[in-house]
Amino acid sequence: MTEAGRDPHDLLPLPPAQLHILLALADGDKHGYAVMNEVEQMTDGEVSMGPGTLYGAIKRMLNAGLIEESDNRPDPEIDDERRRYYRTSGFGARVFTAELSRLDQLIRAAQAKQVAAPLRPGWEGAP
Amino acid sequence: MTRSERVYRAMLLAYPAEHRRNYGDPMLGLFRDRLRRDGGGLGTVRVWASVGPDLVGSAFIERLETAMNTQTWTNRWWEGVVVIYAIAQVVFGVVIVGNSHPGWAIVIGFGPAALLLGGLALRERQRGLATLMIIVGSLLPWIFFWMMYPFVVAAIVIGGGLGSGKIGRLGTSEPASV
Repeated sequence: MTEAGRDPHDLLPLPPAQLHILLALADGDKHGYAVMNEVEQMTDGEVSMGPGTLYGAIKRMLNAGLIEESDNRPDPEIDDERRRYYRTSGFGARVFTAELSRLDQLIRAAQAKQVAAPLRPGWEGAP
Repeated sequence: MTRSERVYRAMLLAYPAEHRRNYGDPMLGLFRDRLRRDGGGLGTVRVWASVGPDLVGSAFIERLETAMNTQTWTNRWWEGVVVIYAIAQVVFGVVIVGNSHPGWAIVIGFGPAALLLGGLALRERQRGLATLMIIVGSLLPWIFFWMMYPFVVAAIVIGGGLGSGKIGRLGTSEPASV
């Protein structure tokens, strides 16, 4: 099946590692170490992916067509030629958008039930 | 290469070979980057405390996924059955038949066992021939058993037929009229 014919919703919900990787790749091509660093920064160190988890997720995302290897080397001066760079594919971008939309809907549902933090200042968790 | 890197590289053997070929170098590179960033003294211990469980968990998942995708478990199960069957045929041929008729030990025991094991060895290269060898090797002893002891086989078949017929009648018979 062509990429255009694939339904992004078939892959939802995305596993957390894949969602984090897509988010890290949203602003440009990155190699594994850069992805790992960005995920740690985005989550204030809450999520730290080891090499096994990271490359396991990358393998599955390559197989699913969510990402692809990139020949671009965004930073040639500090580039190590052994590094592999990855970028989000067109289908991956659609899946990412669909997943964010799903999560947004979830947050709205939580807000409607007044269990989400913004609607209840001072709320720190379930009783 | 540091000692930690050498150990990590050795531990990559926990992953399936294909995964190692495709991602072994990048994983080692990422581990090296982590060591450069966080390593040294207790930092190295912390890196290992994070990377060790990650390696064990992800290697298990990769192994499991590979096994399920390639049906390795199923193949091994069948291989095991065929090998046990071949061994049983040799034992059957030597102990039961070979005592009185050594020639039959070859026909019923070693011959079919060789067909079974040969079929296993050829299954990757000549699938059709291998399947035929395994089928013939499996059935041969039973055909010869029928030829050697036709009355026994006939008795089993007839007895079985009568028995099942009786059971059938018992199950379907009308109650006796009074």
